[in-house]
Amino acid sequence: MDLRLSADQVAFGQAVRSLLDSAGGTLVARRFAAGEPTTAVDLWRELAAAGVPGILVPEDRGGLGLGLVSAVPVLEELGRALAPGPFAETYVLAAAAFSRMSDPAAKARLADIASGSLRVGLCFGGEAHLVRSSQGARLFVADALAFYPAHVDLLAIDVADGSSEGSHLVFVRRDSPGIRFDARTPVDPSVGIGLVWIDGPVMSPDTIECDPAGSRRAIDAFRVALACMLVGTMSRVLELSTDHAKTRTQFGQPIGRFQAIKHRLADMYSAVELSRSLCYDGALAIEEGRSDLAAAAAAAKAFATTSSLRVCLDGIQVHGGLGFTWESDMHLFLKRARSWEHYGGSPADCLDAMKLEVT
Amino acid sequence: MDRAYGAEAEAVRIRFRRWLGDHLPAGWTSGKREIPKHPAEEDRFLRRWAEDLARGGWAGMAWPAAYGGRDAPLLEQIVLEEELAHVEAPHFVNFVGTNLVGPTLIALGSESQKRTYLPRILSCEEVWCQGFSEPNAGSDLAALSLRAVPDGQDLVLTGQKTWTSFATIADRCFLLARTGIGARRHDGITALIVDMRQPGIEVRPIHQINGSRRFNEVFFSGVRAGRADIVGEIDRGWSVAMTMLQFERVALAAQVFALRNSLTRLVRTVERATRTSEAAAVRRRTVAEFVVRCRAVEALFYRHLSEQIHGVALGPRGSLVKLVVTELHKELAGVGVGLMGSTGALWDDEADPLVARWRDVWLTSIGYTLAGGTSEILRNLVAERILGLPRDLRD
Repeated sequence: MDLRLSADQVAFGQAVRSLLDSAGGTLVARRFAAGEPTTAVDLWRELAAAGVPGILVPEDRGGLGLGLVSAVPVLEELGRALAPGPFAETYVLAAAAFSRMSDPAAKARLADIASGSLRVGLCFGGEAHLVRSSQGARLFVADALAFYPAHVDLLAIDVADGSSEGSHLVFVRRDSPGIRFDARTPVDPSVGIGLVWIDGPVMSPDTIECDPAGSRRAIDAFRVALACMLVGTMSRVLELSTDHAKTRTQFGQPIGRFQAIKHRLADMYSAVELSRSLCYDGALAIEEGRSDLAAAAAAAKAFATTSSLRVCLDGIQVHGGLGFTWESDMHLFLKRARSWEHYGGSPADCLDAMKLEVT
Repeated sequence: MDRAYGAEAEAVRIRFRRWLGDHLPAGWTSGKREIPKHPAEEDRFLRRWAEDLARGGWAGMAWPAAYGGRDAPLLEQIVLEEELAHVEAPHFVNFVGTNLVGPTLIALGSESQKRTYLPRILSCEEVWCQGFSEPNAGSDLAALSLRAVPDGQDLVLTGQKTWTSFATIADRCFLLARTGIGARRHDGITALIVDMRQPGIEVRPIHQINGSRRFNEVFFSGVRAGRADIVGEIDRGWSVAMTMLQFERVALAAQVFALRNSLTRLVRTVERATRTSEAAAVRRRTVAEFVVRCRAVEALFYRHLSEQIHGVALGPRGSLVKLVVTELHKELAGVGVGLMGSTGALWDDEADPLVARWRDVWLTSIGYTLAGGTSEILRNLVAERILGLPRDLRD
């Protein structure tokens, strides 16, 4: 019985934190938001040099060949810094999907993920259909959103099919004819966002189609990855709010002495630790192929979604008026949490994945 | 990382499960869980159950072998709690004795105290209660004022304790008394062993909101305790009490497993309630939310357990699971009662047993957010000792 990270896993997380801090922490997100993506691109290069993108990629494809548990602290750090970039989509969703495939195109893409030369985005919301006919397969996507559409090379789409799983992942080249992006303004300034329209035929030899079961497993891992990043975001909010409560004085004392503030911070700490615990369990369940892994992953995402919204709102409360300014980072964290509410599956979808069993 | 109990703990589980099957009252595991209603008969029933557990070698198994235990590791103790919860076994009335007083005497007691009391605690021949809280000393325990005044070889006790569980059954009381005034309020407190079967002690059951009378007020008037029954040093009992409180970790496991039972009951209740209801989807999602939150609490519990098993002290983090499990249980049980519809307004044990069960679980769960540290105090502890926020202003 040991539900702790190993010393090596902790050390990897700390190394990523140092890297992100040296890059400027949330400054990278702010520069990206201001329309200067170069700092983010530099960061992606540094992460690649440190081997981070290949964390789940098998060693014979140039990756680190580690399990999802090892990715947990790394993803937390990326969330903590609000680092802009499709990390969960590339390092986890795509790597997990491609690792289970024998398709040579998928295997080749794994090496590109590990080297940092491939970035993957994921469509969410809207509608996606794959129509097969004698002329081949045609993809139709309407009103979907994708993060970082200008910066990804591959776009993943979860298309409805007739299978028992209901859908499967298709990865198409972003520069395929028939794909149109409308760049839009995101609520979360640290991301890029765009509307995606696809009007057939983008299914080419380059297109990678993952089987339904493999797609579900990749999405399970992706849910845990998003949850881990949200835990990182939440824990940074807690840290900043605690520091603020210790230093901000009113009525002759630090506001953290008042129970209303103190108790709110205690509840924020609870939410972070409970969320983190579900991430550990979800990652472990996936690594072990446990029979309840889908529920464990869904639970991690559902709980992190609810908790991060509450924690980020509480963080603003603790900061008082300061928390309502654009200059404070507090709104960036809140907007990240909000934007991801339906990402990786809506809260309702995640709850529906829970099995109501009598133990 | 792994969540398995391991072969040794699982072997203990199988042995204990078989023992329970053989020793629980007839029909217990198939749902006939009847405890005598009359207080004196109930006390006798529970006392016999404690003696049975002791005879089976299950009480005090964590004690060192030198004192009659078998040095059972923490994980095996957790397994026991899990199995007891699984069958909703009767209360173990000597919990204070075997889990709190025993380990405290082993750590801090005199040789004479160990020789005299430990064997009788282990066999449950003597049942113990804990005399800490007073009407004016609940969260602020250091404000206690029950006096113990020296008189020759004895100390004479005058005052009152409250919230003393199983005091009607208890043979001995481990209590905290004020013996002096020191520079700090925590100084001048002495930990004492008191014989409950002597004149001058009056036990008055407290009628709790769940109908139970498990807790009591205990009045002391001219009660004597020998100097040999001082645990640790006179006036230095606060640290003895703090040592004792750290042994409460197994009780927390019982809370986590009780929550699991309530979640199972909630799932069954929803299955029953949605057969005819149009709100099935809404109810299912409500329960699914609780499944998620209960998973989170269990995962946190096992993370903390992992630290303890591998020799890492939890320190103030120990307050966190108690805070979240008790508050979650209260909320879940409230939903359970709500699912009973209008019948939730009935206090009628002859009606649907499920209604009675939810009522009892809910009302009892309220008590657990108050006993052993109120949620408000625990939030203070988390904020001050983990997050490092400044302490409340106080005298």
